[in-house]
Amino acid sequence: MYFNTLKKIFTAAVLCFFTADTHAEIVVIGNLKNDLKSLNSMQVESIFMGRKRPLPNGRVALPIDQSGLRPEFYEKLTARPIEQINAYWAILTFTGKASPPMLSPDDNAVLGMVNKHRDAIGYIDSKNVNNSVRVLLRLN
Amino acid sequence: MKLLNGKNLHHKLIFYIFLAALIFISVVTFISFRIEMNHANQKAAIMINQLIETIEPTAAIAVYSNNAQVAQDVLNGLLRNDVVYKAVITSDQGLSLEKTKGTQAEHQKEIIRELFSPFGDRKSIGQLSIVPNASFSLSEAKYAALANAINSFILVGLTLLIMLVVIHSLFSKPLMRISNTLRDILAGEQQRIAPLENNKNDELGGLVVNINKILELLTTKLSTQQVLRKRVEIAEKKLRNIFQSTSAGLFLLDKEGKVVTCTPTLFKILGYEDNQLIAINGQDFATLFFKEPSQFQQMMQNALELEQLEAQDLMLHNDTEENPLWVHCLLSKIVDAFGMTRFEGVIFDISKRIATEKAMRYEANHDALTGLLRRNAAELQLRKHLASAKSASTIVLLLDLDGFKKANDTYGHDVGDIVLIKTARLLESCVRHNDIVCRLGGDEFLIILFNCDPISTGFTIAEEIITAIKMPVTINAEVTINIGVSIGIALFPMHGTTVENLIKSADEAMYEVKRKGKNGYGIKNKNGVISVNRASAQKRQQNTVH
Repeated sequence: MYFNTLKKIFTAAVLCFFTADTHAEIVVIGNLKNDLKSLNSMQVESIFMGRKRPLPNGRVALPIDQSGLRPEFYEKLTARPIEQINAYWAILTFTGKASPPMLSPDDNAVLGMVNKHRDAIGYIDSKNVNNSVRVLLRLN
Repeated sequence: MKLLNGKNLHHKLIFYIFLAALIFISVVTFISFRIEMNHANQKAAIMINQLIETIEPTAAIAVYSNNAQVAQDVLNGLLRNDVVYKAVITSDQGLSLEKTKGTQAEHQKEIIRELFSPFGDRKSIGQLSIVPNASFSLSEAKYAALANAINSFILVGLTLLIMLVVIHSLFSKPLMRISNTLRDILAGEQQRIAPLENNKNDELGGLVVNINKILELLTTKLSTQQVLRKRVEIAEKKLRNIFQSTSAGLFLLDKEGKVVTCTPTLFKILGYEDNQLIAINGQDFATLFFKEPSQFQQMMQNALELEQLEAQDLMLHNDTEENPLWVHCLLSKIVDAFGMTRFEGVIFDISKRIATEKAMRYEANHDALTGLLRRNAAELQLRKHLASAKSASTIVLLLDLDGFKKANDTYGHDVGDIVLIKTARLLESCVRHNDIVCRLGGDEFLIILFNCDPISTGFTIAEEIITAIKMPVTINAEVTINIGVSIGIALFPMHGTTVENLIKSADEAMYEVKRKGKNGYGIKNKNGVISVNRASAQKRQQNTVH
C-alpha cells in the first residue's frame, strides 16, 4: 500500500515538473463588458463541450476554439486526448442538434473575437494576454 | 403393456429400465431446467453489462450533452438485442428517455449503471437502466434443457438397444435353448442338454450342468421306481385276482349298515350279473339283499353289543320255492384306522346245500312213486292245522281203491304203479288248490280238506272223486283197468279233535262202505251209525243196466 502511494506521488511530481517545463500556461479570457469576473474549470468545460452554454449571469456564452492551442487546452481542461474530444463532437454533430465551438486560427484571432463579442469566451497562451480582455481562468 | 405381458424376459427388463430411465431423465431435465434458467439469467446479466460497456461512452455523451437524439439512438441500439426488454436513460439535467419492446409478464430486476461525464471527474450525471427480457432467459433455459433431455434420450435409447441385443444373445437365447431342450427331454426324445459353447464357464453353463445332474438323478430314480411299480403291480394283480375270484363275497358296512365297499363276487352271490351295474354303495345292505332284513339287522345289533362273530344262514330277497337262494353270512364289528365303527362280513353261497337239503326233505315227505305227501308229513300238517285258529270246517277223507289188488296181481306191478300215479293225479285234480292229498301206503290215500264250509262241499268232492276213479284206465291197446274207491269221511271237530281220532273215524266209515258194496262214501252219524252213500255208484249201475 505504502509502496503504491509513494509511487503515485512520485509519478505526479515528475509529471508536474515536465508539464511545467514544456507547456505554457493557457488562460481563458472573456470580454471586459461582460460582468463575469471568473469561471471555474467545470464551467469552462460545460461551455466548451456544449453542455451548458448559458453563463452564471444569464447570458449565453460563445466559446471560441483556436487551432494552435486546441489539443493542449482540452487536455488541460478535461485530461482527455484531443482525439476523444473530436469523437465526441463527431457524434454530436451527426445529430445535427449541436455544433463544436467556432474555430479561430491563433491567439490574435481569439483576442479579436473576444474583443468584438460581449459573450465570447476564448483561450490563449498566457504570454499574449493584454488588458483588452479579462482572464476568467488560468489553466496550468 | 403388451411388452409387460410378453413372454420375453429381455423385453420386460428393457421396458422396466426404460421406465426408470424416463423417470430419471424427467427429474434430471427438471433440475437442469432450473440450473439453466439460473445460468441464463446470469448470462443475460453479463450480456447486458457487456452491452452497457459497449454503449456507455455514447450514453454518457448523450447525457452529458443532454442530447435526446443520441440517447434515442443508444436506446434503439440496446433494444435491438434480444436480451433487453426495457432501457431507460435519465440525466440530472432533466433528460429522460424510455423504450420497451413487447410485453413482459414476469418481473425482472433492472440493471442500473451510473453515467459519468466523459470528461474528467467521476461525478454521476445520469443513469442508464436496463430490464432484461425474461423470455430470453426462458427460451435459453428451455432450449438448453430440451437439448439435455434429447441428449439423454438418445444416449439411453442407444444404450437400451445395445442392452437388448446383448441380453437377448447372452441370456434369452441360451435360456430359450435350454428351455426347448428340456421340453423335448420331457417328451422323451432326448436325454441330456448339450453344453452351450459360449457359456461353458459362466452361470448358464453351470445351470446346464446342474440340470443334467438332475436329469441323471431323475432317470435313475425313475428306473428304480419303474421296477418298484412293476413289483407293486404284480402284487396288486395277485391280490386283485384273489379279491375278484374268491368265492366268498366280502363287504364292508358303516355303522348304519350302509355299504362302504364290496367284492365283485358279492354281486354274483346276491344274484346280479357282472355287467348289471347297480349303485350299491351307500345303500342299506339288509333291505337291498335279504328277504328278511330284520334278521340281518339283528345280527348287526348282536355284533355291535356282544362284539363277537355272528354267523347265520339268510334267505336272499329273490329266493323262490323253485330256486332257493341262501347265503351263510359271517358278520363282525371292526374299528377302522380312522376310529370309525364298521361291520365287515363274508357271504358264502349255500343255495346248493339248501337245495339239497330241501330235496332230501321233499324225498322224506313225499311218496317216491306218486309224488304225494307221505303219511307222517300229512299228519304233521293236519296236526299243525288243527292246532291253529283256522281249524274249523276241516274234513278228512280216507280212501281205499276197490279192485286194485286184483289188477295188480293180474297185470303186474308196473301196471299197478301206473294206476296209482294216475289215481294220484286224479285226486289232485278233484281237490282244491290248498287241500292235501297223501298216500298212506299201498292203495290207501288220505285227503285233508281245509275250510270246508259248507260241509256239503266235502261230499261233493267225494262224489267227484268216486266218479273220476270209476272211469276206466287205459294202459295200452289191450289193457284197460276198471277200479273203484271207498271213502270214509270224518269231520272236525264232530268225529274227533285229534288226528288219530279223525283218521280212526274215517277208517271205520270207509270199512262200512266196503262192507256195503264199495264205490261210495260213508260217514258216522251223530248217534254213531255209519250211513253210506253209494248214489253215484247206483246211478252208474242203473245206467249200465239200461
